[in-house]
Amino acid sequence: MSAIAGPATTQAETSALRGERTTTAHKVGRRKRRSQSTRTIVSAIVISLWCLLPFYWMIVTSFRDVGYTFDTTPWFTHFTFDNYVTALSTNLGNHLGLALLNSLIIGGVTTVVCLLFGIFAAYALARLDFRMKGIVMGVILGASMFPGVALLTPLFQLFTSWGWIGTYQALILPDISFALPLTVYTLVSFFREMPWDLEEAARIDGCTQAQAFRKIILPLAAPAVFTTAILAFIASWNEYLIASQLTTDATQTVTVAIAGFTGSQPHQEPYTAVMAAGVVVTVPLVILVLIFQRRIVAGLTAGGVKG
Amino acid sequence: MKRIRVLPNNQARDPREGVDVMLGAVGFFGVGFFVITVVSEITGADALGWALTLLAFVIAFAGLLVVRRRITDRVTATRSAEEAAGHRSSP
Repeated sequence: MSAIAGPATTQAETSALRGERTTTAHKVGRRKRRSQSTRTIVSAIVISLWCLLPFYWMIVTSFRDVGYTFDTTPWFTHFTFDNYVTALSTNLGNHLGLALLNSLIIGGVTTVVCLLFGIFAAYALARLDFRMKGIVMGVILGASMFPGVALLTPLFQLFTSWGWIGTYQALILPDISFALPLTVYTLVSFFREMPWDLEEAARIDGCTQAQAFRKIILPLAAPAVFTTAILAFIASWNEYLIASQLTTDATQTVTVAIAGFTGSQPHQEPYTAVMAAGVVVTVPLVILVLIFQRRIVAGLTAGGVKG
Repeated sequence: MKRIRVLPNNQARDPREGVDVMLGAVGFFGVGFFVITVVSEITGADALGWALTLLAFVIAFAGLLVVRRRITDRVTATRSAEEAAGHRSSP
């Protein structure tokens, strides 16, 4: 009897021990997950604050009276809209409105051209098999790493001889050369992750390769295309170095216009008006992102292919 | 005209691709420094710094070529071993 009861007791003890271990493992796992999520939340808050605090300070200062420019109170005090009036008025020789229009034209054209070439280049690099594909990618990478300041003098000399100084194309051309590698690289990584079975299914249904690209791949790539468009537009919008040398008053962009802001007094740096202009300049970008926010949904193709 | 092949759906990425990308980037800057060195020599400007930089890029390029060849050899050896194993297992 005892011989039978002995192993049974041991078995029960073992299973109880196992159950205890499982419970402990569950508890440890739960604690680990909780600490991980806490760490993620804390990191997200720190990063958000780090990124948003300068912008917050810009907004606070833009609404502050000129006499209190250097007031370090971290919330709104001495509230006024005068800085916005100063930033947008042309009486002091500032042309922020015109600069906004110029930036919109230059950024828009740059984005469209970059997407036009970038989509086809990225599709070919991601999907087609041809010799020296990796080297082409490397050359694009090299071109994106090229320092812009090294191009400044040659571009100035070239555009002077062509009579292009103060024209839109003098800014659009260099902007394209800076934004195109970014566009190609972003889209290549997206096209690579795309489920190619959809394209193959389209080919089986009778589409040509071009039709499959136009009717199947391109609509599916819409989120990546819009994301890339925004990145290219922001890159062009924020460009200062080339724009500061190759523009005149009629074609100057917002970055150059803000850098050249003048105050009501000689030798006075109009910090509050500059901050107001900074807010005005940021608004179009925010609107752009908000408009295309719905389009920028990661994993749009998720569930498109099973198995 | 040779038709460009579309990559099959399940094709694994070429293991040499990373090295190819680096070759392209190093080659791009190498060509740039070569042009600068030649122009400096022709115009009589000081070209020593440019030439030494070019030398560094050429060495890096050669090193990458060696790495690429080794990867190619390894891939070829693996493929032939797999093929041989396939022939042996088939009746």
